[in-house]
Amino acid sequence: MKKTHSMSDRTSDIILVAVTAVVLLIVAYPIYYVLIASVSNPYDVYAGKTFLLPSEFTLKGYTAVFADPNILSGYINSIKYTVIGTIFSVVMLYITAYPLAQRDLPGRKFFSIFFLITMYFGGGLIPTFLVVKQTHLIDSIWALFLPGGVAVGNMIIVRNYFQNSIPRDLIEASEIDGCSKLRTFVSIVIPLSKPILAVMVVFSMVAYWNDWFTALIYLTADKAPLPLVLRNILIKSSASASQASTISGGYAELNKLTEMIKFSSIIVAAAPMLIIYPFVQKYFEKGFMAGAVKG
Amino acid sequence: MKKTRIFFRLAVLTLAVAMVLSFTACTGGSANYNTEPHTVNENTDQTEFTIMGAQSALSPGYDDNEVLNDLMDETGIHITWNTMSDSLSEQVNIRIAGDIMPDAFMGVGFNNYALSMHGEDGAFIDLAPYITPEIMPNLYQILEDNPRVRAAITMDDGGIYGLPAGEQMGTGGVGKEKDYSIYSIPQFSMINKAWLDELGLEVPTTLDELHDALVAFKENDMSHTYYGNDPGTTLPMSTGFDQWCWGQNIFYAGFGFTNWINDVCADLTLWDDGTVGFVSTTQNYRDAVTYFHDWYAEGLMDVEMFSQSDTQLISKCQQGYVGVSTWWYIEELMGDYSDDYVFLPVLTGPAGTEYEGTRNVTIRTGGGTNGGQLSITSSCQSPINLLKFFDKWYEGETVMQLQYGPIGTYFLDQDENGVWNSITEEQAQEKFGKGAGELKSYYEVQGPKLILSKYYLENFNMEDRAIERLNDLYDYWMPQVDHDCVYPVDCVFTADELDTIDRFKPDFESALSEQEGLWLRDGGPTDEEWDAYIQHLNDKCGMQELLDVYTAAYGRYAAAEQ
Repeated sequence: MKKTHSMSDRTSDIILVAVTAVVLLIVAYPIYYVLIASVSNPYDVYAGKTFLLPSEFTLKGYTAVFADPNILSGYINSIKYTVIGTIFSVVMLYITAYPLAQRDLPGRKFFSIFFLITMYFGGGLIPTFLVVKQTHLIDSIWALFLPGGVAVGNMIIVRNYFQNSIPRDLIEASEIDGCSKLRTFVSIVIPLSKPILAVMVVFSMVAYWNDWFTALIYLTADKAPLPLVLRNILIKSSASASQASTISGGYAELNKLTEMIKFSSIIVAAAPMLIIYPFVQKYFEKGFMAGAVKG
Repeated sequence: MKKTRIFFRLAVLTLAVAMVLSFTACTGGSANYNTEPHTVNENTDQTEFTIMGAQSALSPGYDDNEVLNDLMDETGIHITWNTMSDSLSEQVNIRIAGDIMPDAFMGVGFNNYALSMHGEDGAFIDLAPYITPEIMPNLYQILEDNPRVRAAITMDDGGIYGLPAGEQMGTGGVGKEKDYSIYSIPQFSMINKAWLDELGLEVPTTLDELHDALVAFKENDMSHTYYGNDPGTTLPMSTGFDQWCWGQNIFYAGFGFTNWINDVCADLTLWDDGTVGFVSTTQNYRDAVTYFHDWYAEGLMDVEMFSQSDTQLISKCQQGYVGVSTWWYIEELMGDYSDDYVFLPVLTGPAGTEYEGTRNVTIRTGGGTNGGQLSITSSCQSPINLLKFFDKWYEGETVMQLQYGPIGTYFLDQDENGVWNSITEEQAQEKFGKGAGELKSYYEVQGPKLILSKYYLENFNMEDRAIERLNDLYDYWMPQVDHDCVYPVDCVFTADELDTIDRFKPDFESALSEQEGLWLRDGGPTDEEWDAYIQHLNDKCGMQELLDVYTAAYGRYAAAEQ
């Protein structure tokens, strides 16, 4: 009896390991592929010659990316926006989700609908621009954070988490012990909601790290975040290539550089996120589904 | 229960108030007129201007541009430049909608539709009254000498809302008798001569011969046997699908037409009897797609032809996989293998059909003239001062420096006739460490630059590559063209016509392109499919309406010519 049990254990182990290995490969290979593509001759990449090893190893793509004087300020700006933006939006999520999780909040339904409407209807680019202009936020970094400061979808997840995953008994107990609402929030709710906090931090972090369009519309060039800087480097390179394609020749050679810059800027932009991710990840698995069920 | 209803009402009320407020805010910000439209504003007080516009991605901006600074000193004004290289149109639209207007927009490339619209709503002023010998002597003279240019920038209401720009680069500029635009034939076909020699074949002159050569390339796996690549890598023929200089369209010439990428409308053709039509509804077109499907089915045409990018095509060619392809230069596409390739002449149609001996390339138009490069907005107080500055742009030697770079930088020496020579690739690398093209992008100013054909003879010589290409075009490719009539890109449409085009053209073009691809891939049309296709174009895509518009516009154009 015992033997068959361990046998089935072992087979299930083998199957599980095999499946996760395949999943790992599916996830990791594309990243690896981009990495080797960024140091290869792009024409060989497109001809399918870089399956496992780079071909004609070169660092020209990275050289071109790091030769740009704006890359450092891009990094600094991006880190700044990500840190401020993440703190800001997590705070906004908590101070909107917590009241809405209270069943005795006056006008709870109104506020829920009020937030929900913004999920379905947006003003569009130009009206939003006009609002930002009239509030004098143009060329201020707050233009990145204030419009859309509450991510309603995330807010609903957090609210559900507060409602369903924090035992009501604990809150009642704290109230009996004389805690004010605020004290309950700070001492009981926040510590208990760490998993969802981690999830929200990662969500906002990734969103702010990747955001370039808002900065493009509202900020001047010296405030450009990393993705925008990388985009400009790429545009410069492809502009000089297309210049060559029309008149002076040499398109093939310049286009090669453009393709290399594409691959290396993916690595340059993704590296910080790849490094940070494992540190938040341990909370992630617990929190991801938390609050997702039970409306 | 009751409580929630009150909140609902409150919500509705708040929304309503917000909407009313936003509407009033919108109407409050409309443009203010300084003078009556279509008259000259005599004010000359303003000498500081702000211009928003385009720059090349490689340009450092215009603040230190010596050519522009000299022109400003000469005309006694100062301009603050707000220029960007991309996302310009979004930024411009936001500015116009938000009424944050600079004094002028430069290099934005407004199309005629936008120009008429902004002219009508008062955002742009009418420049026609200002084009006089006193205010704009240079431009006035050009418009007097070239009525075509004037026609191209005059809108339906008689107003001019943008100064003309255009580059008349053509064979006339290298001293040829007839002036053909450098864009006349975008695709030069090429074939691997080394493979042909290895197989004992001649360079094909007919589609049938090319077919046999491609079959031989495939059967003998030439990429493998001749260049030592992996077995099975041979692509007898690889091109893009309806692409600019790397499409399959040149091969249709054996069926009497070539449907190049068209700046006016896809597949629009001016036949040699002066009538206008769409080539994609002709029997020739039907026979061509039927014929080339066989090539596709036999694996002679690259299966990726519909999806690949130019980078992918270059990749394949530079590995030595490809037997036949199209581009402007052989060196560009084939890299290390260039020496093995030769230009493939325009091929005649299949034997035993009515197309035997047919070989007709329909040419395409050049860049044309457009009026979207400089528009003055209603917030400009003294348009006269600004226009005097821009009139200087219409001098040969000035526009040459705005297009390429200053004398002393891009133009280093003059030939015996006093015509400036462009910097060579070697000189540019040596002096500046950049290619000549990059140098041009660095100094180029994007705006109302009208480069007339005669400037290439009187003021400066073209770059070597352009001269080479024009010579190839004139001496090798144009003799293979039977009729050089082409639908003029400068045709001007009325507001109604522009509405029709706006409504139907996108659907029409995508229907054509999609169907062409499907027939090439899956086999040519049966009679039913063909009838259904024509009917679809007529009923759903407004083909007849489009045809009427293009015919009418060409009629006016041709009448004005005489």
